[in-house]
Amino acid sequence: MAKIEPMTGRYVHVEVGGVTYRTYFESNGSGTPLVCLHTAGADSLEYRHMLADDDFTKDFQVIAFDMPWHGRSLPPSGWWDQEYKLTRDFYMDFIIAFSEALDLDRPILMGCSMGGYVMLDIAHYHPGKFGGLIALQPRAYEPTWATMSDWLVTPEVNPVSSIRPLIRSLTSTDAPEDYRREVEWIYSKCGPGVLSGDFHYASDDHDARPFLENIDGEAEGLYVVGGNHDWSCYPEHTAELTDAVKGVKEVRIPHVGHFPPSEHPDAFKAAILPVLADLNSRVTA
Amino acid sequence: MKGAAMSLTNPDWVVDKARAIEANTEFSLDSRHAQFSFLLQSDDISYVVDVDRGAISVTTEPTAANPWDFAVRGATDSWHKFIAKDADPEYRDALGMAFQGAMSVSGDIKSRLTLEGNYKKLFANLQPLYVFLTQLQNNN
Repeated sequence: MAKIEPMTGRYVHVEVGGVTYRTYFESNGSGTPLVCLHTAGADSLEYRHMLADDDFTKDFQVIAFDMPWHGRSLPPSGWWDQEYKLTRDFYMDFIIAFSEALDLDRPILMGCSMGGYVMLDIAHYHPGKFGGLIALQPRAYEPTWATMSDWLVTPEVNPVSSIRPLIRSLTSTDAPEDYRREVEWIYSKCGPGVLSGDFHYASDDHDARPFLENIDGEAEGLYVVGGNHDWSCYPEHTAELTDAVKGVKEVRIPHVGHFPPSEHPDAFKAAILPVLADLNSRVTA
Repeated sequence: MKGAAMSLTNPDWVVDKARAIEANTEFSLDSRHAQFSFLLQSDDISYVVDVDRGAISVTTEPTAANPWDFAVRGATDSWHKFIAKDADPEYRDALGMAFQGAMSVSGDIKSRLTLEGNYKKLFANLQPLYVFLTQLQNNN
């Protein structure tokens, strides 16, 4: 029999603001629930390595879902009549609603890029809601993304021709070539206007600078994790967070760029397993 | 060419490198329908690179008679570190060198390269441009 990977994919109906979103998620493992958030313009495929890895799934119920408009989660009816713009409130509400829809008991949340940014927002606006918050490649504020948004929906510009080099530039030249290219491919199938819409949250609606000092990193189990080759998250950027947020813990990963779980799964695993072990000991204590 | 000759300040190296990039399979695939020109500048030394459906031609010492759509400008030191694959992550990638901080033509202090000119043309051709710039690091 051919090799069959152990994760399963299902759909859960998640209600936010009176709208029901048929939401795709993949899961595998048992133990503490670990909900994984993909990057802007991507989908849960970014977590395929973790989902199939016993070193994660023996202690954690690893769950990765596609936000609406992404991957196999369709946008709601009427998407053709309105510009997609992800907002901070919808993003936080959806993550919470998804966790409640699956009856998860204070799961650990982990997200990358915009999924990392939202950890800071959740720590501030919804303290105590989760068993731990792992922010991969986070920024308190990152205006760069939105400078590209209009070009990605300009008729004379093929968005894939702009998105591919952007994504490749964010990966590390030290990461395995096939995996770098995999991230590039995941982004190439992004829906129309979706990356620009996500950039609305990432660059415009997310600005944690005013409340960083109010976050209790220790109480939230907040980790900030940065790949050293990510030009959007150099050590100076995570230092801004560790300087301002009390009790936050920092991990830097050498030779890794903006997409640690997918571009360099081995380096990511070595760096993140101790983080997960620490948070799991808090959750199960 | 290797060592000191491997530099944008060396016109022979640039012309030879452009010829090699023209033969690169990824560049060929991504530029087969592309038509654009860009100014490649290292301090006061510049080139106009014309890409016409996969074919590359380089004009050294361009004048006002050599139009271009957009420019990729950098200091000689920045280009040198990029081409030599400097260990400092801030010089490892051309777009990263341009995009650090807000991407703009205003000279953000963290930018090691600047992209300016016709942005529509730039973004429409970003993929072949990126392959071209990345291949400058290829010493083969």
